[in-house]
Amino acid sequence: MTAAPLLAALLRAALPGLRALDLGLPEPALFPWLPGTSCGVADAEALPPAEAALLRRFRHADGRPLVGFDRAADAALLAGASVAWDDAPERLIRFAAAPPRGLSADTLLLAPPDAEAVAGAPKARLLLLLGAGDTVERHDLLVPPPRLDAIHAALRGAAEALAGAAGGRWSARSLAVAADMASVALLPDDAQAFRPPLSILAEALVHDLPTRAGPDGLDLSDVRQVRLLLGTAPARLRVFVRGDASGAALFGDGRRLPATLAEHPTGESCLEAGPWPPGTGAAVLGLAAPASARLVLTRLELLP
Amino acid sequence: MGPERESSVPHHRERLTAFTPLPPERNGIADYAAILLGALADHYDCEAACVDWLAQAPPGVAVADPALAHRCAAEGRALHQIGNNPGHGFVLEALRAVPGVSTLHDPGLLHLRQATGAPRETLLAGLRDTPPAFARYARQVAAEGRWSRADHLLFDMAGEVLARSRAVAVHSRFARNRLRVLHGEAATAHVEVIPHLLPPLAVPSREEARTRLGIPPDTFLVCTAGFATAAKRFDWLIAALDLAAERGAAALWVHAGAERPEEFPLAAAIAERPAVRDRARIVGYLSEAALTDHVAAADALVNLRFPSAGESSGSLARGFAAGVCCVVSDTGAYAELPRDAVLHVPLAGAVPALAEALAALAANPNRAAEIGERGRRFAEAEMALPAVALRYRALTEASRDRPVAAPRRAAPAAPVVLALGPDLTPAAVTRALRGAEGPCRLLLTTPDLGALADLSLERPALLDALLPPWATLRAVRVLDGPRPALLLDLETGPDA
Repeated sequence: MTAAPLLAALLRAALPGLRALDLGLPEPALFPWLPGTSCGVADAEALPPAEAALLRRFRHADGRPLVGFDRAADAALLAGASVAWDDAPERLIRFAAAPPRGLSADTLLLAPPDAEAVAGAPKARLLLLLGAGDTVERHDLLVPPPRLDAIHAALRGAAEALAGAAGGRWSARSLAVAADMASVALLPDDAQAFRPPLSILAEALVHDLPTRAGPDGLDLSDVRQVRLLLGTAPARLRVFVRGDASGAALFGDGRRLPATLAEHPTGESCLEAGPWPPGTGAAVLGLAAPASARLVLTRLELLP
Repeated sequence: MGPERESSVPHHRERLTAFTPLPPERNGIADYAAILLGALADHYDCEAACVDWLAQAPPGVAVADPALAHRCAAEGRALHQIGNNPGHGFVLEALRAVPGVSTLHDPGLLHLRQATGAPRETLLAGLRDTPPAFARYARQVAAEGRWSRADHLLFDMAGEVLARSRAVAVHSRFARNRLRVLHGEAATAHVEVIPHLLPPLAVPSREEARTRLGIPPDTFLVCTAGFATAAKRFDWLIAALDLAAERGAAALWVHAGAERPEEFPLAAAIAERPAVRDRARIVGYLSEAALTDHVAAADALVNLRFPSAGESSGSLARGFAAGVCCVVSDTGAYAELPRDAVLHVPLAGAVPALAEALAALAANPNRAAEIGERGRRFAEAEMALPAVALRYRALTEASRDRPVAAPRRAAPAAPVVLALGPDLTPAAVTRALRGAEGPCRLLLTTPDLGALADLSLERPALLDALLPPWATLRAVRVLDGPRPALLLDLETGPDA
């Protein structure tokens, strides 16, 4: 059980225009729950070669490799070059271990508890305490000190709104701990988790084909299979396609998933996957179909 | 190493991941792997990692994505089926990540490396282990970048497979000895001969097969099978059939396989010989059942090879299974077959000898049947599938803890630094770069830029002379202080 969907919803509501980069693979927290989030690894060279070779295959929706696999593009992104962030007014980088170097001073950072900020760039700390079932996750949001109060207020407001809309009973609390530290907590009263269904259009998917998806979907008519980076293993999953999906198969982390096929009212075919196999590493969904199927992948749904 | 005794095998079922092509890929190794995995499934929980995720695996064997198989395969056993064609590129990649037992169906692998887009530097790196007798020629190939068909025999790219495998299976002593000659005793101590397997075919009777194919019972039928490559010496067979026809022994010849005109223009070669043209058919790639029908209907299965690099033949195994008289070249792995179980055709004077053999068999079909029966009995004794599976299991278990060479290190992030001066030799540069694969940088320091200018005038084409042939210069920068130097961006092949 993870609080990742809750974290993404909270940040999205509190920080308008937010673009995020999640460097936490193989255990991302914002990707894919926060739409538009780029993802990658902090240190590609530290990965086992086969895992690096796997991740190197993937491209973001705009065609860029995962962060960590293109040094020039990475440098521009980490330095805060506007074009690399699509001119987003608010930028956030999440890291799971050591913070990356070369960050611009105004970038927000999402860090593991008590992680140090980048040397030479003082940051105020916002503790985010988020519940999922019986567990409480802590994420530290590191912000420029002058922005602490405003961001704290925005997060408090977003938490209170989510407490009323998340389903079940939730408690939202906030506290100004010190001049450079504050907290926001959003905890369930009944051990429930916030896990709304997430629909991801094909054109937002991270995949390993050289072609890019358009508004109509990702055309698979010239290929027999595609890998999609999910990051976190889903509890349940549905894949929507157009074309003859009768011979299609789903693979979770490289292994065939039991799947059922149904026609959807939209005219699409829907493949619903069975349980995801246990394993380590960033979750990768595979979709294979005979060449004659001429499939177009339209969207995914990650379900609670 | 013989078959393992039951008492020494593990009682719980371990996972075995086989990295291999599978049917419907039109590849003899794909067929071999499917049959082998079906038998190994009696011993292991088998999984086949195959680039085609919808490939046809035997019952009880799941197909997995090879790009992710390293996550699970590292915990279990791994088996790599490696042949010398582009369909096995992913197997070579998997071997680098997950060492295991490798079956080298063809010890050469030059074609595989060429066909999978290995950079020129990687191919040239394969020349580093060239035997002294070929070294001069190898240097010429390196200098001119000109590859010929002979290179597939002369140059061997199996070094990495030997180094990264816990054990290596080959199908003949010839193949093992070839590896030994090229790579030495130490590097090949873990190479084991496991005979090719006898496919468990439901073979129809000759009459039944001929009825289905519309071939009269009294026609003497010669069959060939598989892709029509140059090394299968269809030129010899055509000439021999022509000669036999001249002598009044007219056979019907069916090639049960696909033509590869770019390798050997089979149809055109047949068309040039009127006596053969009217009695020859090329039926193209066949389904499993149709191929078996053609082999079962035959009086002789001709399976020639020259030159041979020690490769094995699935068609020959099929011929044994059908009890058909097999006619083979007296070379390579074929020379190891019992003299009474096949007909050996000498390499010298192959055409008249083959013509004579075919004429004799046509005149006495019972003789052909007797040889075929002895071949079948030999294969059942030596190549039976359950025994072959046991050999694989024994090799897999015995080699589990055998260490393998470390993966080749990536190109160093920091440049390799050498002092550039009159004493710097090509050998020193080669030593410094050994082990780098892919892009790397070499920093040649110099006391000052004046000294660099002097040296470059003194030794024209200085960098060409210093760099090994497997390192290609991509860019040069002159660095002016604090430490004057030449910074070279290089692309290097592997340390074969």
